[in-house]
Amino acid sequence: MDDLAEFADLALDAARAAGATYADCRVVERRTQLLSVKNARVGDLNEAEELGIGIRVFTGGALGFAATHDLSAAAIRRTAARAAAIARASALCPPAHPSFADEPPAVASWATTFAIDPFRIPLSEKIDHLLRVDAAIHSVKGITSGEATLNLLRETKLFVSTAGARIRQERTHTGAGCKAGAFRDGELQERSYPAAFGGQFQARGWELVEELRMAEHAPRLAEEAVALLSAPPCPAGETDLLLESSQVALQVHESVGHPIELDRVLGSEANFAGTSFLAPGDIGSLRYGSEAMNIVADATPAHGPSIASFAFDDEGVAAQRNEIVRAGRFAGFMTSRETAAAVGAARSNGCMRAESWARIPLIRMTNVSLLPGTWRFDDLVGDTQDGIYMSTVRSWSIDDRRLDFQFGPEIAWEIKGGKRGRMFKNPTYGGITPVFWGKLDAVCGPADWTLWGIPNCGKGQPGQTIGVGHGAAPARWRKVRVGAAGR
Amino acid sequence: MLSPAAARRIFDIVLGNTRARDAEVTVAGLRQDLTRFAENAIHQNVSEESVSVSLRVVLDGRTGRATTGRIEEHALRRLVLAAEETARLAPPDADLLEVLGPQTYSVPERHDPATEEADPTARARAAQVAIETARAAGMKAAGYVSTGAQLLAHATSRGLSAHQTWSAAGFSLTVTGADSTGWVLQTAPSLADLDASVLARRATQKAVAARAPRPLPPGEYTVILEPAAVADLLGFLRPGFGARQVQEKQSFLTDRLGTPVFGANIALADDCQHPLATGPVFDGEGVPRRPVSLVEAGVARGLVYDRRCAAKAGVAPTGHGLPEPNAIGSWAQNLALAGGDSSVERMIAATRRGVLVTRFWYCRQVEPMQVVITGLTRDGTYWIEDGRVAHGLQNARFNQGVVALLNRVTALGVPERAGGGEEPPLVVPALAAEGFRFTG
Repeated sequence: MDDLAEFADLALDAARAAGATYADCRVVERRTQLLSVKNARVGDLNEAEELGIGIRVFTGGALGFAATHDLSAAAIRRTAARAAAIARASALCPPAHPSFADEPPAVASWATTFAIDPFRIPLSEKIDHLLRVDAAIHSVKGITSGEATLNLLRETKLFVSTAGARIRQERTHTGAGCKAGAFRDGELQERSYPAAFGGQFQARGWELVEELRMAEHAPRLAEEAVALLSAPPCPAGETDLLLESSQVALQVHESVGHPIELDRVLGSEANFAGTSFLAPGDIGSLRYGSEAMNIVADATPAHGPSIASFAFDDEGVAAQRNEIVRAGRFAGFMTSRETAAAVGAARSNGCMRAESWARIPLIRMTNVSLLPGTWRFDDLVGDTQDGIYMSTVRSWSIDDRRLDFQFGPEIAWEIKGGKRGRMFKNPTYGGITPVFWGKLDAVCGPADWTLWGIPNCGKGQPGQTIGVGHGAAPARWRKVRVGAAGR
Repeated sequence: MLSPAAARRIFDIVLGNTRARDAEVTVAGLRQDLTRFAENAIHQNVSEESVSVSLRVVLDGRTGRATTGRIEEHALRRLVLAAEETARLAPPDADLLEVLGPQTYSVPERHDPATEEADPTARARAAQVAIETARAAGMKAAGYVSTGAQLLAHATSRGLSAHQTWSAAGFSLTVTGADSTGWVLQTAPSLADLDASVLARRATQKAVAARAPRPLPPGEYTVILEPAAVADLLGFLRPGFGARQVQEKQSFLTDRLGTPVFGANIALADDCQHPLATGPVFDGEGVPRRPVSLVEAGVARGLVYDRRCAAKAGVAPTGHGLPEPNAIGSWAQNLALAGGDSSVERMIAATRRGVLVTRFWYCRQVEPMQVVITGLTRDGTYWIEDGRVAHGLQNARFNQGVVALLNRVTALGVPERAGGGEEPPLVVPALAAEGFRFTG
């Protein structure tokens, strides 16, 4: 076992020697396992490990960052000096008033929990599990492709700063999912379980895989994929829209999670991820949606076993729960120490995370969750006279200010007179963010609420991909524009 | 950055310690520096150096892979044990091939040491040019300047040894005014090939020309797509040219090989040797990448093959395989669309009413067999009337099949390396097409 603290302390000493007035560093050790089976054959089979250090140095009124895999003393010193030189070069075009909201340095240790260590399950057992899921998909006539995947992560991260912070965090994540495909007469339809993007990802162990019971769900999934080939296309028009919870999670992600990132609001992402329709002065005044809309950004482990939960963010700020939308009214942003200071906030609300040791922390979604309402799903369907129920993300697109969106789920069903009816293929729906959320009139309750983990949120230059969390339940929007989008 | 000699040391340790007769090692090294600016100031300024060593072994008809980001000897010995353990526990694979023996490669010179080692001041100066140009127009600059290099090396227990080093520089700028934006992105092997002044002026002029934008009513329009916008859409064709995707009926070319899929003026190839291409000249199994003609005069003629799919199809692999084992097979990563004799200026002059698009944003596939894409225009959309740019347009959503689009191309310009920033760049020209579907 490597002594992460030894590397970290050396980095801080080197940063001070290079002229840092503040420095922090993260030493991150990571183990991952990626397995997939596709069409009765092992697809991916990779066991990986990495260890590296990222050093952030503040000097001359600017931040510089450098990272290396080489943990020799000479390389760490060289990397710290490089971070300082980079910071000094930024002085050619300095920000107007660089400052950081205060944060008391913490000394702490934290780890996620699990019932069954997924790394202790024999590899052969995992592959057998995926082969069974794939076989169950292929047991349905008309299926032309099947796939099952498993992703495991274990990470130990040590954060230290010249202010005295020393935080060790360890997390174990498990992700699993499957997909069925049916091709006929030039058309391909696919269904995913329990969600798109590789399924469900949580800070849990092998028990998550067991609970998903993918092999039991696979035949139903495959039958739906085949049935979609014969289904009529989703009609175009305006109707009441019910969304399944993973689709609600995506809706929250794209139209709430990203626009509330304060770095986007302040222009930091203008060249790539984009900006936001929100402004700092909108807190408390902007109507984001209907009274049924209540959203929090909650990084605390109390929110659930999420891949986006932590005890401290990558600036050493303690995890927090913050109201984002209260009864439809906009209540707050996700911030960093620098952006908090820029808008006069006393403290960061702790949303800075980095993809790995090699990248700087950015404001990233924690668990941006739509809080449950009181409806039961069956009652919600029964209460809908004329509508469409859509499920599972297939395509998703939104503009660079996070206003104009079009999402296309995998499958839809007509709702007539309070009953679910015929299936539709190629459904899409769209809208303008605050107008759309203003049409929300019902959210299902805790029994239907799921804390989804989405593993592939992208942001930043160089690009960073990170896992985020979204609690969501099925919900209903009134009079939404739906319909087949293209040809 | 990791040197070829350091990669050879890694090969010796790894291959010298495995008991597998068939083993292949891939070593990747990266040095990447990026200076990012926004709101007319440098706000993120970073440097990273990383390595990856990946070993695949074949034992008793089974294969497994392990990867490490560490290169100390004890870590490499652990890598060998991990790869052998994954292979031992994997199911038998009847189609496994032995690893490759020695190959011959044609490696273009794409490495500029000065770009690999560029200091942060050089990048900051380019950022300063961007910021001052935008500021002089009363606008704000956001973008990046990047420099760096990559090493990719591959060796097998049967004597294959390959390595390639290439450098990369990038400059991107978004200029933001009161009601408009302009944008530019250019990448090249050398920072010296990127003229910050010229690029900054172009982005600023785009923002100025897009002022006071008007809405675009939904409908079908003649479009002129600048190269970045073409790349944004053509990138979605890449998976479809993979042989395994066709064999598993997941490609838009399923059951369509040998038939006309695009207009007769469309020719597509995958060519890593193209003077404007970048990236490695060998694939994940060490096979030399060879140019592949994918579409000739609109007819689907070729696919890219990994070794396994090539064996199944009875053809030679093309050098586009991903590291085994994988769920995809092969990948056309160096798409090149042949150009014509036109230019954006001539296309505008020939257009009575139409839309000029700088780039697209957040493009996603709505339907896989016609490759229907939705997305929005971004950073410079203009209304063309009577052969000239009349005014700016607000960003507009589209839903458009790429297959349909490539059946309605009326003019092609000179190819260049271009991309919208969401995906790696391609070699594509600007094009004009009829009936592009904006959906509002």
